[in-house]
Amino acid sequence: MSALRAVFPRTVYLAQRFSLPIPIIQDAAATTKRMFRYASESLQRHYNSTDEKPTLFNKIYKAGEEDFLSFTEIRDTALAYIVAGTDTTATTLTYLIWAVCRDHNIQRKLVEELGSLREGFDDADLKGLVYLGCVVDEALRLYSAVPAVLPRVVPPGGATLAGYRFEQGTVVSCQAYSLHRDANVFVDPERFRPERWEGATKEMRDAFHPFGGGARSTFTYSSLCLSLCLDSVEESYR
Amino acid sequence: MELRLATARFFRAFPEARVSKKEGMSDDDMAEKIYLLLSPKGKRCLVELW
Repeated sequence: MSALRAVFPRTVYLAQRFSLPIPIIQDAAATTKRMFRYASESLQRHYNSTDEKPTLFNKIYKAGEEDFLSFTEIRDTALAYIVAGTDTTATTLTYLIWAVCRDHNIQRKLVEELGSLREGFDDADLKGLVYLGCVVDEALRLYSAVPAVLPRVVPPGGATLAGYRFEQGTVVSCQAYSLHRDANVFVDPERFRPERWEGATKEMRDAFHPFGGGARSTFTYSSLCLSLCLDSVEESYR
Repeated sequence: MELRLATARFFRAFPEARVSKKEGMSDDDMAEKIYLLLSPKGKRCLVELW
């Protein structure tokens, strides 16, 4: 729902204000309700858990007990972490697996490189694998989980950006979808071709920002998704 | 990073994985449906592991 609100703020406002029956907004509202419930249940589980290891949420609970945060605020924070930390990685991983599995040459090359790994390898071992890095970057280029607008508000005093003057309060958005498909930077942009990253130009690196950029980058969120996908991928099939 | 680890583990475990054609799975299922968070139109991605 907040995604729709970010992209179509007025439509969502009007639909909710006047209870307009717009299917896509009704669906999103139902999904949001379901997610609120899931976040509440997850919080309850975490709160009752006997695991002594403190997490960010212990601090958040404390803020709740001291009345700095309402339950709604705590729940919304949990929801943001759940979505941003798991959904994003799962979506890009789904597209990555799909894109690799439908191209024998890419798959063969990747499997061959992975064959050089020792048993019980970890992320440090993977840093040296050039082709794997290319495959991941290419998946993030075409199937970045947050390719849409990330609205920002121009701070008081206004700002000048790339020769354009913006008044304070103006909403400015940048999005990865078209930037990652700029044919001037990425040759044959619609094609999933990991090899393009073997000779990555500075322009490619500069135009590549699957996690947003700068101080409000979502990268830290995405890093939260640790072993969730990994464990489910392997264990559910074994 | 998680994507790197997940990719490595997946293709080590299932080097012969193929995109499935069962149950009418097609590229159309993977067409991107985008609002803010990317999601595949068919809400599924069927892969045959071996």
